[in-house]
Amino acid sequence: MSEKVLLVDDETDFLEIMAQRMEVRGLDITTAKSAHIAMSIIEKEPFDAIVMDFQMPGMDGMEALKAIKAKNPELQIILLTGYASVEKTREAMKAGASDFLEKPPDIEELTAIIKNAKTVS
Amino acid sequence: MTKKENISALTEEGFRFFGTMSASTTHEIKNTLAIINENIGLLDDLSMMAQDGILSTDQISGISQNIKKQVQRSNNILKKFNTFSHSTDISDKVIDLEETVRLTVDIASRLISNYKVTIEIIPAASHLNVRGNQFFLENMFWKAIESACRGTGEQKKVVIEFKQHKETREVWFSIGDIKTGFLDTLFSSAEERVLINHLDIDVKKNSNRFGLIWSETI
Repeated sequence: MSEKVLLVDDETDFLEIMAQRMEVRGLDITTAKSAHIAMSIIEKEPFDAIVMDFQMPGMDGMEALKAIKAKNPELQIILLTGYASVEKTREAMKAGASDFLEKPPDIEELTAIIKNAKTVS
Repeated sequence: MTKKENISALTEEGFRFFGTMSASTTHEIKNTLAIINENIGLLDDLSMMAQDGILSTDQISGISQNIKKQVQRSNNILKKFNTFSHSTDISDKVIDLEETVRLTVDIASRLISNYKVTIEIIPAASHLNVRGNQFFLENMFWKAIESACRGTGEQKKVVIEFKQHKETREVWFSIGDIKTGFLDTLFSSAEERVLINHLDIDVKKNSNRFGLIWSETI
């Protein structure tokens, strides 16, 4: 069974293409344009992993990570960022992120992390 | 503050402002590059599929359009950032207030969107010019815009308008659903006071809005 992944980014073009490319790699993708939309989707359906932009208007990735982890501690969350500082990476990992990848991510690496996360969980 | 302390505070504030705008701009460029990168990746995926006899010319054309769109977007971002960077070239010149407000809103667009606030700029009836340092004026406008974004409540709207009187040139920021007591503490920080003094402007506060006022007209 393919892994169910929620992809969250405020850049619509990025979201659409990433979704297409991840689907080609056998993942079942749902997209959300903001952390708020993502949180309402999570309440309605289960996911194996969330791939989320770290910096978004409104609720950012770190806020969303903490809020989602508080309700779904087992859910794997992978954060994407334009510029990852060591400090931010450490903070995200401490808050429960499974991984922290620089944007644009290597699609094969991202897919492997998601599939591996499901196996581990 | 002594003159030396003033210059030091102004320089420090200027560096901070330039750093904030540079970080925001590079973030935007990084986003466009990420989209271009994924489009190229999609092209790679399609070429793999083409080996199995599956090839969609519509998809290839769509990818080409997407890349063009992102290149154009990057070009616009860089053009505005270049104009902004050049505002440090001359320390004293004639400045168009509306043009400078628009440039500041443009280069700060990502930061403004973080507040989820809509900025409406009402065009000036005629060119409103003042004399001064354009870079520090942009810095002041950003302080005003950011403050207004923080001051707006549920409405999340800020309207910027320009007024011209015989003796003054004015830029007004009207804040939708203004938070109680917001204007009381507006521009009370040391760096904001230094900017206001350097630009030689007055600040007026009035119900749900505040204005930056230039008395010396040209």
